[in-house]
Amino acid sequence: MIDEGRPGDAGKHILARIRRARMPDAAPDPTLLDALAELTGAAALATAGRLLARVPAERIVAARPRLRPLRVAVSGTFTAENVPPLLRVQLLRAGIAPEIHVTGFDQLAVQLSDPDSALARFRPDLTLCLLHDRSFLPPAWDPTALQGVREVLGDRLAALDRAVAGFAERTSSIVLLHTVPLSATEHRKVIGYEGKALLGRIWRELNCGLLELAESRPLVHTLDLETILVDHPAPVRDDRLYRFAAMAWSPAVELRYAEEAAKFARAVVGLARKVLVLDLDNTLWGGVLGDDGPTGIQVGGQYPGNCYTELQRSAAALRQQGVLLAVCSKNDQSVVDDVLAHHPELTLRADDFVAQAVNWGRKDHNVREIARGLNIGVDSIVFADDSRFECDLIRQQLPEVEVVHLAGDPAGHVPALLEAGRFDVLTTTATDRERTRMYRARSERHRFAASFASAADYLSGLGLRVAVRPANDFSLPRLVQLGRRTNQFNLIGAAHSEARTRAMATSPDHLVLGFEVADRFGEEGIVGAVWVAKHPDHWLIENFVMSCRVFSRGVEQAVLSAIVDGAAGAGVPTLGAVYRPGERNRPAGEFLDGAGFVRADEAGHLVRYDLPLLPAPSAPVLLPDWIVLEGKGDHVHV
Amino acid sequence: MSMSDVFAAVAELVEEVTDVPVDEIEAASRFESLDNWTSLAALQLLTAVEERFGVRLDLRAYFATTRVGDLVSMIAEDAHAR
Repeated sequence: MIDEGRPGDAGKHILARIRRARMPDAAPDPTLLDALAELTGAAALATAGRLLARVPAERIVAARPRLRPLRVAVSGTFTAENVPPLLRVQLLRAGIAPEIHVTGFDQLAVQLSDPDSALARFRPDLTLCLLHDRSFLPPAWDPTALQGVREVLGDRLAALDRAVAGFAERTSSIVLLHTVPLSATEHRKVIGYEGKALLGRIWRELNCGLLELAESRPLVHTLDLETILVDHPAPVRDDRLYRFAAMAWSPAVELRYAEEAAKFARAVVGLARKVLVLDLDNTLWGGVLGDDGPTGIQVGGQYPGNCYTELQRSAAALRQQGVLLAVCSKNDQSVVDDVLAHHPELTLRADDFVAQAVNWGRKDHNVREIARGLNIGVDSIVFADDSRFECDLIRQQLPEVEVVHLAGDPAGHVPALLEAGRFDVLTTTATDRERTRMYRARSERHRFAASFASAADYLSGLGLRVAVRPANDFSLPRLVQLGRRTNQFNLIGAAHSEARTRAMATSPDHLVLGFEVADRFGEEGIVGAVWVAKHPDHWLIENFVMSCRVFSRGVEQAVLSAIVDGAAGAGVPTLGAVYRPGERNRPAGEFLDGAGFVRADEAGHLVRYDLPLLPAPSAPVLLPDWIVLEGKGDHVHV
Repeated sequence: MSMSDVFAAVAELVEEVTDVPVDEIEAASRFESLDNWTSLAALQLLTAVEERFGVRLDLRAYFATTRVGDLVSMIAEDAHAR
């Protein structure tokens, strides 16, 4: 027995909730709309849609994001009474609060043509025209005179065009037509294979004509339903329902159409997503770059590498059509840069992305930062990642982001990304093709961890707070870990061991500091650490590490200013720092230069920098004016 | 699936389609006396039953059933015949 489509306990529960919400004085049930996702099967969804017709939309959703209103008319050449309730559910789930008007059976031509029809008076924003083969094909068409059939189809298409064009012009409603599948029953009436081929061609001419209307009429669009149904498992028509009630679509096709029409409606109201944020490991390529190395990742060639190539091609196609691509990955930027520049099999390259958040920070922060850098809302973002943890984090922290969990067989990743039509728009333009380039020019400074200059006006709005604290038992392991994991902002490109750090933390002649960063969006937690040896005539920074996720905000200057204050307060004339130049830690060296340190000595691979503190430092003012240093005196002064 | 399970499931579907509470639906309930019973509701019940039980019913026989219990027997027979 097939249990598919059964509402089940969850479904029953949801239907009960809808019934409660329908009561005149019902309390709001703001998670009900989200819960509708658990309903499956045309029957349960149609029931939900019928019940929801009498529930005010604002009762079943959270206050934000607000649903978009849309007046939708449904008119067909056949009985389509099940479509409106299915449509209502799909529209609500797509973020649209519809007002739906339905015309009676086979009313399409009359309702479109009459300027005073109920359809015209409804003043729809969107009119869905449902067509079936017999609205074009005469009842007793002659399989031996297909040329005559061709003419009839042409005439009826022209009549539909006139009616639709006149209606669109009078009402300014967007009209959605669709290509019409020829039912197998009609097709089989022709027995000669030549004739079957000709009928197929004639039928495609009709569908081509329908598609052409989308080009020639400004408000008219045509859904290619014939193509959409290619991978649809159920028959288009249930002949019992067709003969008995003139229902030309089986319930599963009604549902499929409702889904597609809702996607179209989303494009109509401008709810298309604009940015695709992609993970790298096991998303853009197979394997983990940090573990498998640049030559070990799977991309290109045969399965499964070709699946990742296809995902990259699909993302590239989105980019060409105006969708912005961004990277959000836990990785080292330099390794990623290397792969994006040199891996021979990649389709996407660095300049395909408008932002790269490649670091070890929280992905919700990175996604928010990407949105901020592009100056778009997080509700424009689709986030695709193979990790359930990251997907759940984004769903929880940024519910407006649409999350695509790319789980399981990579062959399924492209369908998972594209099938919901999240990026679908009515038309794309030449501007869309240029969009990535324009945004790249505008947002160069937001290429994460690649630029260390700070934009003061942007930063001053952040309300940045930095707290510098001596290591304690709780923070110490995290500080040691940061030392190990930090490559770019790490003065000596190496880490103090846990034992050494612990010894320094408890020694009166040393200082181990951790620092935390917070801004108006939340707290980053501990993001860096400093190891200092306190000598009588100078303090020496043995290492200074900072997570790249807080780069470019002046945090390091603020921390340094706290150390300078501590040293100067202790009457020490010089603050020194050790730097070991390496391939990846140039940012740390640039920091010393920028802060006024001068090269004092060089021994082997190590460079000794000094910052004179007495008389009063000639160095630039260290503490950026957009940062509040919290409790500085109390802590560093140990 | 026992007859009473089939009945319980059918009663739920009838409730879904007609919005008549499930505890008011009995094997002896006549379809035509249910609130909101229309030919459209009848077809919705048909497709819901077929989806739920994986059966395919003869429309003539289906429309000849007058009581919920008759439909339950018909489903059980069809499922049994498969």
